[in-house]
Amino acid sequence: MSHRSLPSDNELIPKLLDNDETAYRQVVSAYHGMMVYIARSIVGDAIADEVAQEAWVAVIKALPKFERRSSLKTWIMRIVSNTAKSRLRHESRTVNLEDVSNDSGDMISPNHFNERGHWASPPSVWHADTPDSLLSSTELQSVIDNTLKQLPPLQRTIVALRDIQGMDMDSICKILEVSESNGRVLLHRARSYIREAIDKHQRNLD
Amino acid sequence: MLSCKDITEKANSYLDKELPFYTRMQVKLHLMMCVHCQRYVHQLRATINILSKLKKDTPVSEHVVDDIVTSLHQMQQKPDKPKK
Repeated sequence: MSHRSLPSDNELIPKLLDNDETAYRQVVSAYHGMMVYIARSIVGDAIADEVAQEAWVAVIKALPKFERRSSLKTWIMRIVSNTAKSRLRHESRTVNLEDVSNDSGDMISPNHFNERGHWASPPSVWHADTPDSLLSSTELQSVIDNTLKQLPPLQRTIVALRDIQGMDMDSICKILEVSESNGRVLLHRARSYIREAIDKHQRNLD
Repeated sequence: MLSCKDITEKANSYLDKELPFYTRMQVKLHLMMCVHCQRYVHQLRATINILSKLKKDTPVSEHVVDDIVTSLHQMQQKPDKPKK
């Protein structure tokens, strides 16, 4: 999703403000894929493309007021994130972006521990324990896909951007407008939940 | 002394190297003695590695780029009429 030939923000911004078609093409080619990815994480497949396109219109309209307190990329990604979040709120007024019914605040179900905090039900021995051998199972791949879908939108987006895309936490928190500490908690919950889903799948193989 | 439950709470920060020195040492000490927690941390690390190997990008077709570029360009060519 990176674009090697993309000029610097200083070069691009005046051209975009000048309605330069080549500059539009450069930024859209470079960033649209990531925008759809973020939109999809927040609102799901069905309207992700539409949200990303709506965000482009917002980007170009807001560009004269862009104060350059972040990179153009981070600013654009924040706009798509906000467009997606407000769309999600509009579609389902009850939705809570951060919380989930399974979320007790514990990283792992408290049932796994005894009253002294020692394992009562320890993690199972996985049949395969290297990432490649685990991923060679198509069944496990669908377990992971489904688990990602079950996560609340912000947890899903943070784990996708951090662990799948390898983006740094600072940019992710700016894009999603969450504090560093909150972002970290959401990331940790998402990972722990995914580990637990893999563990459940491995136990069922026994 | 940290409990196993404490270790699961700190495992992510441990793997991300975000724990202060003393807490990191406490976690290490616990892991030396507890095979279940070793397994937990190993599995969490495997989970993070699995995620890093998942498909990263959504390819964008040329015609999608063309459509967006054309509509943005046209939108800016026809600015709103100034309000009287």
